[in-house]
Amino acid sequence: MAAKATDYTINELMVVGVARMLRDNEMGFLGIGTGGRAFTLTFGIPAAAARLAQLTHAPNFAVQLGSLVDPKLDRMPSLSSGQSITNLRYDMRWPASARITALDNMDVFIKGDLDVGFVTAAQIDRFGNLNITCIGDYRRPKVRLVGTLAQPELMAFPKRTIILMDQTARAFVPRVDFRTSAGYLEGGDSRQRAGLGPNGPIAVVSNLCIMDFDERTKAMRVRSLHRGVTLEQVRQNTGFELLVAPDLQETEAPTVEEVRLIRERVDPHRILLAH
Amino acid sequence: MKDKRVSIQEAASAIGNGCRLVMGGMVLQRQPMALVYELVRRGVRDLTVATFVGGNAIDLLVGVGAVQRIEAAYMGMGPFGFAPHFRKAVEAGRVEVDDISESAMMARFKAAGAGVPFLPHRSLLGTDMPKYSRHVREITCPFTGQPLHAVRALESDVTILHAHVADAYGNVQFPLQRNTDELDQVFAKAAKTLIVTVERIIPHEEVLSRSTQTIIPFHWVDMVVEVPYGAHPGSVDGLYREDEAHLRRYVEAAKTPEAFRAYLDEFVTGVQDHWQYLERIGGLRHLSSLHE
Repeated sequence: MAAKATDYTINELMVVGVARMLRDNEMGFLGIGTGGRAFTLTFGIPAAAARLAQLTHAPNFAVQLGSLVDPKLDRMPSLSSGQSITNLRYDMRWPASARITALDNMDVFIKGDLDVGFVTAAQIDRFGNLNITCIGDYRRPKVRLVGTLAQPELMAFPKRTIILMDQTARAFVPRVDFRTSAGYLEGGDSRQRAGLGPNGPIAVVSNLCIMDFDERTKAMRVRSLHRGVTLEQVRQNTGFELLVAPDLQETEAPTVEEVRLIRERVDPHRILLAH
Repeated sequence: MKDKRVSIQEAASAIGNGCRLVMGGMVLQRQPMALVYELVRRGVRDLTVATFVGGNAIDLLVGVGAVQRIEAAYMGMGPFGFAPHFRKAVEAGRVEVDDISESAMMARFKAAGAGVPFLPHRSLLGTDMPKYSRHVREITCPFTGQPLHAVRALESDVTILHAHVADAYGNVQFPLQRNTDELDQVFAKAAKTLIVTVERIIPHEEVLSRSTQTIIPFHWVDMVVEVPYGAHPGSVDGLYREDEAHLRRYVEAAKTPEAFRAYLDEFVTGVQDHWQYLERIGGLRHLSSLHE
C-alpha cells in the first residue's frame, strides 16, 4: 500500500484526482486558457494529470491540444523569454505525432472518437450546464465573456468530460445565465431527449471537493471533501442545493510518490500549476 | 494569367462601409493587421465581421467604432486576456454578437465553400445559441428523424487573410510545417472576394517547383499584396512571434479613451503607411527580436 503524502497542495490533489479518472490507451483533449487561474483550470491541471497518468497507471494515455495530436508532455520546448505556454502549441519544435487541420480535428471530434474532455467555466449549474458567454442578459450583458470556443463540442461529444472549477456561490448557480454547453440540461433524460448522447460530464473537480451527478436525476452530488474542508463550507460556496453521496468521504490523498512525480518530473518549473 | 498585385491602399478600398468582412487567422496569429490599420485610417464603418476565433485585429476595429456585428466562436486576446474594446462594446449594446460554437462556425464556412445553403449540425443541441443566432434553425434529419440544427452558409463580401508567400498571380503557399489551427484555407474556399496579404511575393517558378504547398490557388484570389511583417503585433508561424510588449500596451491603452487615442495616434492614425508603422515600432532591430 503506497504511503500517503501529508505535504501536498490543493492543486496537486486536484491533479491526482483527475489522473485517477484517466485510463490507459485513452486520448484526452486539453483546452487553452487565457492566463492565471483560468490557465491552471483549463490546461495546467489536466495536462499535469495526463502526464502523471502516463507516468503511473496509463503509460499510453495521449493528449490532444487543439489540432496538435499527441504532443510529448515530457519534451515541451523550454519557454523562450516572455513566451506564454498557451502559444507553445504553435511551436513547431514541440515533438508531436501529428498536426492535423482544425477542420479534420473537429470533424472527428464530433464523430465521437475522443475519450476525455476537460473544461472549466465562469458559471456551472446543478445539472452541469456551463456558461462562458455572458453574465446577465445575452443582448445587453453585465459582463461579456469570451464566447463559446469548442466548449459545446467538449461537453457534447467525448465519451466523458471532466469539469474543473473554483467553487464559489457566484460560479455554482441554480441556472446558468447562458447555456454555452450542455451538461444534463434540466436533469433526468432531458439530455438524451435533446438529441445528445448518454455521455457527458462525469465529475466536477473543484478546489474544495469532488462532485459527480446522480445517476437518475443528474443533479450534482458531492462525493468527497478535500482535506480540511467541511460539507458546510462546500454548501456555503454552492448557490444551489447540492446532493450528498451517502458514502461521502475525504478525497483520497495523493501518495508520496505521486507528489514527488508532480514536483520533480511533471511540473518541475511550476509552470502548469503556477496559479 | 493576371498579375493580381496591388497596393495596400487599393486592397483597402475594396472594403467599403457596411461590408461583410471575413477576418483570416486566429486570435493573435496571422491576423491581416496592416490591412486592418489601413481600414482604420480610411474610417470604414458598419462592418459585419465574421471569423473563427478573433483577436486583436477585430478588437481594434471595434475600438474605433467600425463594427456593428461580430460572428465568431471566440473573441479574446488569448494569453493577454479578454478583448478589451469588444467586451466594453457588447456590454454597452454598441456591437451585436452572433455566438455559435467552433464547429458550427466551421460548418458555416464549409457550407459556403461547398456551395450549399446550410449544413446539418449537432454541436448546438441543448445549448442556448440556437435561441439567439440568426444563422441556426432547428431541423429533423430526413432519414433518421433525430433532432439537428441547420447552420446557414456564411455569406460575405470580402475575405482578408495574411499568409507566408504568394506569387504575383495569387498562388498562396504555406510552409510544410505550419500551425494548422486556423481556417484560412476554408475561408479562402468560402470567399466571394479574396484579398491576401503576404510576407513575400515569390517567383511563379518557385510555386511551380512545390505545387503541393499551394494551399490557395490563384483562381480563388482577387488581390495579393506584399506586406512584410503584415501581421504585427500578431505572429506568423515559423517567421515571427507575437510582440508581447506591444500587445500588453494595446490592452493597457484600452482602459481609457485618452490612452486609446494616444495609442492610435502613435501607431495607426498618426502614421501614413505600413513602413512608417514598422519604424514606429522599432524597425528591423525590434522585429528581429521577434523572429522564430
